[in-house]
Amino acid sequence: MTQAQSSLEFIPPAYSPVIWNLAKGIIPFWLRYNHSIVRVEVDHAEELVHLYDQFQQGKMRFMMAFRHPSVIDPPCLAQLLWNQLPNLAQRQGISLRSPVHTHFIYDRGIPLWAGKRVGWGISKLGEHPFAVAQLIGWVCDQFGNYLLTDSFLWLLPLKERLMATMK
Amino acid sequence: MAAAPEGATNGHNEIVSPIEPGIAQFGFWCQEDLIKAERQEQVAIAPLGVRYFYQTAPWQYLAELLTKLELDSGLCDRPLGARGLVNGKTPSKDQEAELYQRLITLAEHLLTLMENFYHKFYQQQLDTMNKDLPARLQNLLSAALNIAEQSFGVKPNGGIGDRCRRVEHAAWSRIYREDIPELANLAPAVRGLADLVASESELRLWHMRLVENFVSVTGHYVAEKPSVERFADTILLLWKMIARLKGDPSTKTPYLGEKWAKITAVPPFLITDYWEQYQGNRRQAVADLTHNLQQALEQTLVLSS
Repeated sequence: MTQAQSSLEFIPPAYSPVIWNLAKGIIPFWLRYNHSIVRVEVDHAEELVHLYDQFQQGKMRFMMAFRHPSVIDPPCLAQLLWNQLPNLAQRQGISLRSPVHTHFIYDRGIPLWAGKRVGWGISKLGEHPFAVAQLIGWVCDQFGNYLLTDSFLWLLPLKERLMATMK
Repeated sequence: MAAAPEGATNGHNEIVSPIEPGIAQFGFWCQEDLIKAERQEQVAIAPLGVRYFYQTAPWQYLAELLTKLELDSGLCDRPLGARGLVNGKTPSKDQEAELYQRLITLAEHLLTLMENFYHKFYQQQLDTMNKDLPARLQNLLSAALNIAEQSFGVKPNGGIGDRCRRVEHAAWSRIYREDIPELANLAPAVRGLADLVASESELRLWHMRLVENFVSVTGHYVAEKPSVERFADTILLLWKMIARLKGDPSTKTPYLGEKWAKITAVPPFLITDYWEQYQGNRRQAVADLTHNLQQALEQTLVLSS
C-alpha cells in the first residue's frame, strides 16, 4: 500500500567538484558495464567546441537541446563533454578550461523511481530538477492550456514569468 | 544547460517526438535578462542528435527475446526459438519476413488481451472491427488513459503525451500532499483516508505508465525500414510493456550486445536572429524557433544514418 507523503520538495542543485571528478572518472566504466555502451562518438564536435570556447570567453550563453530516445542519453552526453570534448578541442588548437560541464534539467519524477541516492548524486553534479507534470498541471489549472514545460535556474520564479508572458 | 525538449524518452532511435516550446522560451528569457543586466553575451540553442547502434547486429538475441515474450504473454506455449538467426549475420528475406510476422502477431495478441481487459473490467467500448493495428492502438491508449483521467477528474485534452503528464500531476497531488503541512500530526482516521487515496492514485498511475511506453509507436516503424535497430526499439517496448503486466517494471533491460552512441551536433540557433520577431509577437517567435529546432533534430537522424 502506498502511503500519503509530504509534498515533493525542490532538490537544490549543489554542484560539488569532488563528486563531479568522481563521476567523470567512473562514467566510461559505468556506461560499459551497466549499459553495454562501449563508446560515444560525436559528429561535428567543432560546433560544441566553438560554443564552449565562446562561453568560457564570456561571449556566449547556450543551451543544448538533445534528442531523448533513452534514459542513458544524459550520461552519454556527460561522457562526451567531461572526458572527450576537451581533447577534441585541443586537436583544434583550443584549450577549454575544466570543468567542461552542463547543468541538465531533469524531471523531478526521476528520483521517485531511481531512488533518493540518485537524486542526491544528480544534485551534486549541479543538475536542476524540474517538475514537468506539476507545471503542466498548474498552468492547466490557471489557463486551461499550457504554454511550456521546462524550467530555468536563474531569474524570477517560473510562475511569475509565465504569468507575465501570457499577459 | 542541457534539456530534452521532447519531454520524455520515447524509445525510438529514429522518431523525434513533438518538442515542447519550453527551451525556446528559455532562450528568449535568457536574452531578456542579459539585456536588462547590460551584458553583451549572445544566447544560442544547440540541437544534438543522440542515437545508438549495435556493435554486432543482435538478430539471434532479438529472436530469443521475442520467444520469451511470446511465452510470457500466453501467445505460445512452446518456444519458437531463434529460427536460424545468427548475431552479426544479415537475415535472409524469408527470415526477416518471419521475424516481422512474429512481431506483428505478438503485437496483435497483446492488443486483443488489453482490449478485452479494458472492456471487461473498466467498461471501455473499444470498436475493433475493420480497424488496423495503429488505429486499434490509438483507441486502446486513449481508453487506458480514460481510466486514470476519470478517477482523477481530469479532462482528456490534447495529445497522448500531454494527457499522460496531466494524469501524473493529478496523481502526485494525491500522493505528495502539498495541502497537508504536517502529515505526522494527522488524526489516525484522516491519515487512513490520505493513505487510501494515495494507494488508489498509485494504482491508477499504472495505466498511464503503460500508455506512456507507446507514445511514439506508429505501427509502421519497422515495416518502413526493417533494420536491426528498429526491430530492437520495438521489441524492447513490448518487453517493457510485458514487464509491467507481469508486475516487475524495474527489472534490467535485456542484454542485446554491446552498443555505441552517436551524438550529432548541427549549427546552433542564435536568439538574436529571432529577437526582433519576439519583440512584435512573442508566441509566434517561440513557435517558429521551436519548429526550427524540431526540424534540426530530425535532420540529425538523416546525418547520422
